[in-house]
Amino acid sequence: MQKEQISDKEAIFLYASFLLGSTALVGIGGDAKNDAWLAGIIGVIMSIPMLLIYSRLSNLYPGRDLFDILDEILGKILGKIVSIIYTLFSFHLGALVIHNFAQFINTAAMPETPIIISMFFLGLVCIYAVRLGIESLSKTIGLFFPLLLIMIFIVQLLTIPNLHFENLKPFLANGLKPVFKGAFTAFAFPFTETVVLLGVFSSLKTKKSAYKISFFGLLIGAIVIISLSTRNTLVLGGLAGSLYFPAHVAVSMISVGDFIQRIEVTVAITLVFNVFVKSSVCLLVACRGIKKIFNLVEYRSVVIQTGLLMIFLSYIVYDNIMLMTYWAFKVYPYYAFPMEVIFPVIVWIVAEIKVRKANKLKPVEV
Amino acid sequence: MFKNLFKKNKHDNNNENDNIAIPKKQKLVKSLNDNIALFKYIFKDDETIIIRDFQNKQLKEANCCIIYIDGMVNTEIVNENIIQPVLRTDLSVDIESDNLLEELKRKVIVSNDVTIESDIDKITSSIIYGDTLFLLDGYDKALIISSKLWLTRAITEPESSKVIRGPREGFNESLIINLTMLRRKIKTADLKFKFRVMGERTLTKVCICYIDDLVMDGVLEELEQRLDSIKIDAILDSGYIQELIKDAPYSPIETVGASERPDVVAAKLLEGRVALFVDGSPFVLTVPLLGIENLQSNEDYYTNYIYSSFNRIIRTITAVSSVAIPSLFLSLVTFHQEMLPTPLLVSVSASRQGVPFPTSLSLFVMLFVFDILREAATRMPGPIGMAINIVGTLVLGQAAVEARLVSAPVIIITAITGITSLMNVGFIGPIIVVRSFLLLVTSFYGFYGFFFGFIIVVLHLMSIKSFGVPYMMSVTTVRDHNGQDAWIRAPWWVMTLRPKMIGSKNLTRQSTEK
Repeated sequence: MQKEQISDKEAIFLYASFLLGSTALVGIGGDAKNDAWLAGIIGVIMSIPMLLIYSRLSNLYPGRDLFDILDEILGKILGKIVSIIYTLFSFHLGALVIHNFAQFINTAAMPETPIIISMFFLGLVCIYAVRLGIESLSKTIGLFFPLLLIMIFIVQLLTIPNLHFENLKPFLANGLKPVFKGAFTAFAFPFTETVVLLGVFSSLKTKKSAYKISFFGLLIGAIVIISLSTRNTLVLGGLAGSLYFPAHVAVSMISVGDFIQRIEVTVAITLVFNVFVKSSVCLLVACRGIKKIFNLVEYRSVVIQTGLLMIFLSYIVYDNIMLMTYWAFKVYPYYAFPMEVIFPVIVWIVAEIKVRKANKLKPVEV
Repeated sequence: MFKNLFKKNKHDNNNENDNIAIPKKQKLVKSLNDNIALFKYIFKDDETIIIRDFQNKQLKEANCCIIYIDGMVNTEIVNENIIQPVLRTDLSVDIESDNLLEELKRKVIVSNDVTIESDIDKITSSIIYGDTLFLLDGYDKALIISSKLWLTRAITEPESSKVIRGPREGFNESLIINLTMLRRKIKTADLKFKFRVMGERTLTKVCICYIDDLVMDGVLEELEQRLDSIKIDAILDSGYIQELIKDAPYSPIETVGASERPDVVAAKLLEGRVALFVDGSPFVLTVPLLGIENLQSNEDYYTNYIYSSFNRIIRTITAVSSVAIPSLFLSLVTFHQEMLPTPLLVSVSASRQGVPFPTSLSLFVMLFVFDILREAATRMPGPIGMAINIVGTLVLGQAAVEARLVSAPVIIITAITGITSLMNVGFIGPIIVVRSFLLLVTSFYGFYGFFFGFIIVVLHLMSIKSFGVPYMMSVTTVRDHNGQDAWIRAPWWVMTLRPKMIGSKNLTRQSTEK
């Protein structure tokens, strides 16, 4: 089979879409309340070193995915153990994202539809996408994402009459602590979740691409996320932190000339698409991990099973929506910290040492 | 019991075969009478075969016989260019009688294409193709004289694709005429024609056609490989081959293009594609096919670029709306009523008063009825067509609303959907499939279902490749020269390069040097 390739433009969109994922819906920096925008910016700045590390790893081992790199650097046994951890992380993340989406549909749009139906709809689309492969997925993103960006922009313009800038005040009312807490949440969810994307960066076209994609992807994603959460604060004020889905409520207040009104379905479309991208990527990476762990020939043979398990996990993962927000903002940053920071840093340091050594040895060999 | 029946049949067949005396060896012999007997055996029970023997006046040993099939040959050629010269010419003068067959070919028979042949299979097939076989007593070889008569339809404008501006000729059913029409468009020696015969019983002639220094790498080999793997007994239209060499066999999407117009085929060849002519079919296949080609018309290139870009955008919008409008309507009136402005919502729900069926069901039924009308109008003889108009408009439209079987908005949506899908006749099949699929998921899951369905459709489209070229190539590009000829048609003075992937062998279309 031909090696799948994704162009840089598509990869940037994939990256940004992955960042937006469910964040565009849940919002960021819940603790920081009306300083969420500051928390977002600090979160982005904090995550830049990590993204550089991820890009460096992908740059050092072009054409290899996360699991190949782990295998290469940490050796057979340790590499396999870490691979299992990452596979479970990715699998779990996908389930969380699916649950986020289903919870949203259940709360905001279709309260009478059983939640498992929403999960099945999204899960089956993801299974189909992953079976087709990263190439079709990224091309689809290349078609949809620009349209979504335009739509987000138009919706942002339409909210201008509802913006109340006094909502930004008081600035730093509770001191810096909640802001940094919020920033740490944003750092873990979503910015450094992109470690999962290392699992698909093996399909990039050139060696240098990873830096470019991380940079532009982060730029687009961060601008959209921060502007969305700022908008939520500006429109809803103190209410934003206490709503489950602030974006949805903020947009539902739009009413232009009594004709354009109640357009929250546009938020839903953006959400559906980004959630679809994120959970597909998670499923894809989980399947690739399984393939690597069990030395399978093709990851496609385990997609359906893994996907159905993911749907089921998303069904049982939270009991209710309170638990979901609690987990996303309070527990998740600490849970994800090893996968997002500790392991990558260790792997990166070992990789740098190995590469230096190899470079030093080279002249001797020649 | 059936087994016995089949067995018996087989047995009977064997018996029949045993009873007939087969000439021992199927090859020409020196005796004229034996040869005639051989052909009588080959064409037994075929009363269209005509065997005419005659003799030269002067040279008595010149006993000849011609064999041909009635109706397949031009009798004028047979009479005046074969029989008359051989009968009348004084063969005793100036002719070496020990090599008479060769001499007849060289000096007597008036025909542009005469070959000496001894292989019985080739002779038989040339007779079937409409050539005349000339046998001479004392020779185990024969002359095959070209005398084909092919009655063809006149070259007319294709009914399937009309233009306002542009050439009006269309292909007809004769392979050779089609090839000449193409040759008249592209007068270069680089235009290559490769023939092959396909279909084990129909022995249909098929011609692969390409421009040597433009054709995309690999496509030609891939096409030949796929044609090689076809083992079908009959090819009656290019549609057989189109389906057999398709890339995505289970998909409703075609990955092989078909056109009835020489100018379209010429343009595609000039972009680096390969064309496949099939004898007996006015539809010429072209590969690779991009999805965007379905939205392009040859007229786009002949009229003002602003106007043609506008037309292309209309085609795109109608193509999308013909699959999306029913589902969007359904999701708006049944799941997301809040998005409709209140007065509109009131009028929509007022029109649904008293209608017993759910909107999704009535949409399905009305769209189905529309497709019935469409199919009926296509197949029905012209004079009866009026009846369909009356039934469609009065009975199914107005009367159905008045009888409160369906609501008026559903009729309007059906009408818009129908017209927009008829605008893109080329891919009406996929449109119907996708539309039904989207309507189904929408009726379960509202707008989200529609969006998921749409994502699935796009994923599917993105995964298709036509002969190694992504089916949806240049759909997402606007910047480089691939985008010049996709959603819009750039002015000719800008389109200096061919499309990137297909025309990669020689990108320059217009020389930019002054």
